[in-house]
Amino acid sequence: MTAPETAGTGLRTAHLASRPGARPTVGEIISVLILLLIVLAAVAPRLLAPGDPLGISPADAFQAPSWQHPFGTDESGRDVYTRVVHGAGESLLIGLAATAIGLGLALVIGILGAVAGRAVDFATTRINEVLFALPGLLLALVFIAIVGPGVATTTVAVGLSTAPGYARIIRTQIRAVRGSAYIEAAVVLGHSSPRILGRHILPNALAPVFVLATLGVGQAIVWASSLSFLGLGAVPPAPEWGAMLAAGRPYIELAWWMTVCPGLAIVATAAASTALGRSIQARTRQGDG
Amino acid sequence: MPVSGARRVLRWLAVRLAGAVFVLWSIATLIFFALRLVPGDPALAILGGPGSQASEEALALVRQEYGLDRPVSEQYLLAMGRLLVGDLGTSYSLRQDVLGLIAEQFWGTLLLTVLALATAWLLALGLATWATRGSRAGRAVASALEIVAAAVPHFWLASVLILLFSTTLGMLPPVSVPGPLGLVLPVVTLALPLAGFLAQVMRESLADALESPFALSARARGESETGVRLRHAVRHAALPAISLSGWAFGSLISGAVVVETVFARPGLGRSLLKAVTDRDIPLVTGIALVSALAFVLVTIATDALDRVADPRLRGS
Amino acid sequence: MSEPLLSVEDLRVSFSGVAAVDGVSFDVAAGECLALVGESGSGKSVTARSLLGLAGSSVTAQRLSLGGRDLLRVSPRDWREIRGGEIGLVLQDALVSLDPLRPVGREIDDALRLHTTLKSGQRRERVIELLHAVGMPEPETRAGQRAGELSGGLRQRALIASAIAAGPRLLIADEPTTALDATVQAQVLQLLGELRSSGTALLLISHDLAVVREVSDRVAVMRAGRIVESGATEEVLRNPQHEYTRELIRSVPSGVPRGVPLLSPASASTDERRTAGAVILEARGVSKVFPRRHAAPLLAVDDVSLRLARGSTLGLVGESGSGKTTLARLLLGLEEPDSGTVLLDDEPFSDVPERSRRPRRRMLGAVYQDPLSSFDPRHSVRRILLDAVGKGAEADRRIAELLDAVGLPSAVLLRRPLHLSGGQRQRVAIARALAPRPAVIVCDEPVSALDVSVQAQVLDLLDELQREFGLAYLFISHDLGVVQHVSDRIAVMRAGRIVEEGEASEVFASPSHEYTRRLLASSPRLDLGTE
Repeated sequence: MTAPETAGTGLRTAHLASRPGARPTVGEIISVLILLLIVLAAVAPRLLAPGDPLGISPADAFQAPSWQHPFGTDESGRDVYTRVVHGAGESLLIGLAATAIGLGLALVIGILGAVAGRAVDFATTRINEVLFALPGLLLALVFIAIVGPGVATTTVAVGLSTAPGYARIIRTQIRAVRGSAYIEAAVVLGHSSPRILGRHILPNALAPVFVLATLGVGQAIVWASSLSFLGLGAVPPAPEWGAMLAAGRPYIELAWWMTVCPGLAIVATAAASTALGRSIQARTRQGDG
Repeated sequence: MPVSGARRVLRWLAVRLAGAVFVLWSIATLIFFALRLVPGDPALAILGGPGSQASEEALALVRQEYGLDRPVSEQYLLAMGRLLVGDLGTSYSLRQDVLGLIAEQFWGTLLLTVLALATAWLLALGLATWATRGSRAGRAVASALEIVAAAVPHFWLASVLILLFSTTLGMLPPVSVPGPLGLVLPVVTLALPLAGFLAQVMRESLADALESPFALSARARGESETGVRLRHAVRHAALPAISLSGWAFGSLISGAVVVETVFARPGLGRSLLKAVTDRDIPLVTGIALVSALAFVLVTIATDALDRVADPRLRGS
Repeated sequence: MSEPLLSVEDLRVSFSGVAAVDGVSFDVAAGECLALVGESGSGKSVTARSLLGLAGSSVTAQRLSLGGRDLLRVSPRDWREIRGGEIGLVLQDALVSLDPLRPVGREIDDALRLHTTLKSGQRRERVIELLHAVGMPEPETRAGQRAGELSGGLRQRALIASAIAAGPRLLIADEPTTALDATVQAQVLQLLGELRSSGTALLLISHDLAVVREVSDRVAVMRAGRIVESGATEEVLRNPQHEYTRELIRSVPSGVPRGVPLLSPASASTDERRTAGAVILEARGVSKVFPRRHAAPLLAVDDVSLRLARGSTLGLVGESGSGKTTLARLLLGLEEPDSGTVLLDDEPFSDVPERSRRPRRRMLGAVYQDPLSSFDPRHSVRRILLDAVGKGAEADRRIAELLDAVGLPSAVLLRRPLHLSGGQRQRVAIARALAPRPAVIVCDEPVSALDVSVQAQVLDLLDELQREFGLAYLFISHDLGVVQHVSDRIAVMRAGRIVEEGEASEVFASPSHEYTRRLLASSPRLDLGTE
């Protein structure tokens, strides 16, 4: 969902000087804590959940949340909490990889379009328009239909579907920066085009895009887990959040925690990254004075 | 001036429609060549990929239908020619004409997405107005609500709503039965995340409008706060949300894939998922093209609406 | 003197504990114009808003009354009756002060709907009458147009019409002509004058002493939330008592001879005529056309020739849209002329490949109206200057020299321009322009966005630098007073053409072109004749 996130925030060339001494808000603290927790779970899951995410214990199946099993157990008696913690790594990795793919592709398209002259700009804009016409998951689904399901395909597919949004933003950003007075001032000083591009245009145009990408990681996780949920990505019993939800679906009346708990992890990740990204945007924008 | 104005509008429309045709042609071309880039037998790729158990006869039929024994350029012309006359091919998994299949299911999905869009708009407008009116704490709560709502995945929201309203309260059916009652949960599931998103956008522009000099002028004229909102701010707040509605509709189409699947509701989305799972390329292509067409047309419509709502856009 | 219409005593307004207005008292009688003068941040606008109950929460006063009615004890409903009905407000720049999405007629109609019992048909007639009364041509058509479709002067008239629609007894005009060209400003001021003659009390908020002198009966000078001096306008301007008032008046450049510093009268050694050197920058018959969609191409610059001599200043005056900035861009080599040539130091500077132009760009500097937008927002002052100086062993010494030349402390080096004051930012911009040791600096409205006392400092600085480094300036401005003070020669531009060019003193003393005469007549000046 990259395109609209910028539309609302009025992505401008931000004066990156943030408010000096501005204290973090409660929302920002909570967001950072959630993200730190998720990163910790991804890097060192055993620290948070020493158990085995795949350890079956049929006798303990479908246990409601308790002190021993804070998120309950699933149909095979595996601890849902342990699985959610161990799933963070895969979900985060997919989200990061997908965003990297999307952003990388967008950088090529966007920068080429803005820098390489009119014909290339026309071509890249048309390509982007075409990719845009398959909004959201559609592009990903078409891609999977052709290439086949799987974790790797899902990741690439999600990356592919985020690319046009980023590319469009990069192009507008570069054009906006290129038309600004400080670029003209650099021309008047007699600086060369490559120097102006490298020192002024790209840093100013791309900084807000990278902020946007941090916000996009959360969304990419949501999409990838959607695809897993639909049975096209990670496959149970892998402890991926979307796949866990899919596995819990048949038992929703019997064991709600199998659905609710992994979903909360997804919502928390996506909401925290959105909130954090937005507050970075707000803080940098305040500098516009 | 009215004559040249009308001509300008017509020309604008013609350019946009030509753009739409170009987009559809490009998508078809892209899929055509992507299929031939995938290693292996294209006939097999069309009939479900390497894992499928397509019979020799079926493969032979596809080779003949798509002219796979002929050079690629000829195949391409053949495919585009068929597309031009509206022939989207035959779904191998359902053994049915793709166009007929789509026509059957199109309206259900359209109804779902349009209702969801309208609901999201109303919810967002309500939330935005409430949030800018309220106290600082109210604003913080509203902003947190918006962010969480926008972050919720459809598939999880659907499950939770079913759990709440069907399993626990027993108020609404867990699967989409015919009739308005069966539409409630799918529409709400689709609308909530979008509403959270639209509300963020609206709240920002509403707050900007309320602090603008023209709002001060209006207040200095004796206009009440309600008057300032209704006569001035709401239109300004609606502008970016209108521009976003095209995109929003697109996100709803892809959301429909999940929602129709979870609520077992017949429609394009569910058919698409089934087609992707079966790797039924003719059906996938058909649905993708129809969705893209719908999306492009809605984008043109919202752009037109934008120009109506904001006279400043018309000059450029 | 009759009972005052508006009476304010010890008005105080604060925002989160910080006093913006700190004990202000004044009266305005019917048919009288009081001007509140001050620089930005003096609290004059906040004062105006508090009279309408729109300044926020913490407003206190000993007395705040309108026609005997106590404005300190008014219910929200009554406030709405007073706003527009008893007191009207005209803001700066109607482009944003009228709703850009609604026709101006609707905005005027709103005031009538809120304060009169007229039916909608009657209101429509009244709107036309009002537009007619404020001098709007073709009022029936204009009523249906939006602010963006009207010219600056017309939309300001529409804004005034909406403020006076319900016949308020007091009109507050907050910088009503600041965004307007001189000739248009004169018309709007005349309109305000007519309203006052018909019995409306006028509270004029302005930073421009010349405007104040033209319209107001009495003046109150504000600084840091207080009124430092008040009295009859002519008396205060001719015989200022307070040091700040004197400084304000001294800062106004019009009438001060070329070369005489505005702010340090000590060094009033009238400058000997600068020796105008050889021509350094020249335009020979340059033209520039911009294609427009849905309209005939715009001839922005039309066969313009001018010459700028080393060490001298050429002032370029004209109203908005006259092509001044396009001409500057042509001279700076940022735009290629469609015909004609630009010569820098007798060699072609236009229609040459950028590669060969680039090394010669060092001879040309530029200073803009809005310095902030001309700095890379990611860079500190040091980085900005380093970028201009070029890396090298000497870089730091050179940066120190530049800072010294423009009178900035070295403490600013680590800061970003965003955190500097407007005057400091313009000094950084000048330092950057000086860095490559140019022969010419093109100054495009360099002081227009600055407060008058800061403007005086920057003008003095530019003059000092010119003498020190033998710089030539192309000085673009819409402000005749400023141009007269800084220029050796003057070129008057209108609709892409230079209609008159000559020695500054001659053009001002005996303008030959009709347009120049009109421009001179319509721009309010503050010639107090004290020198």
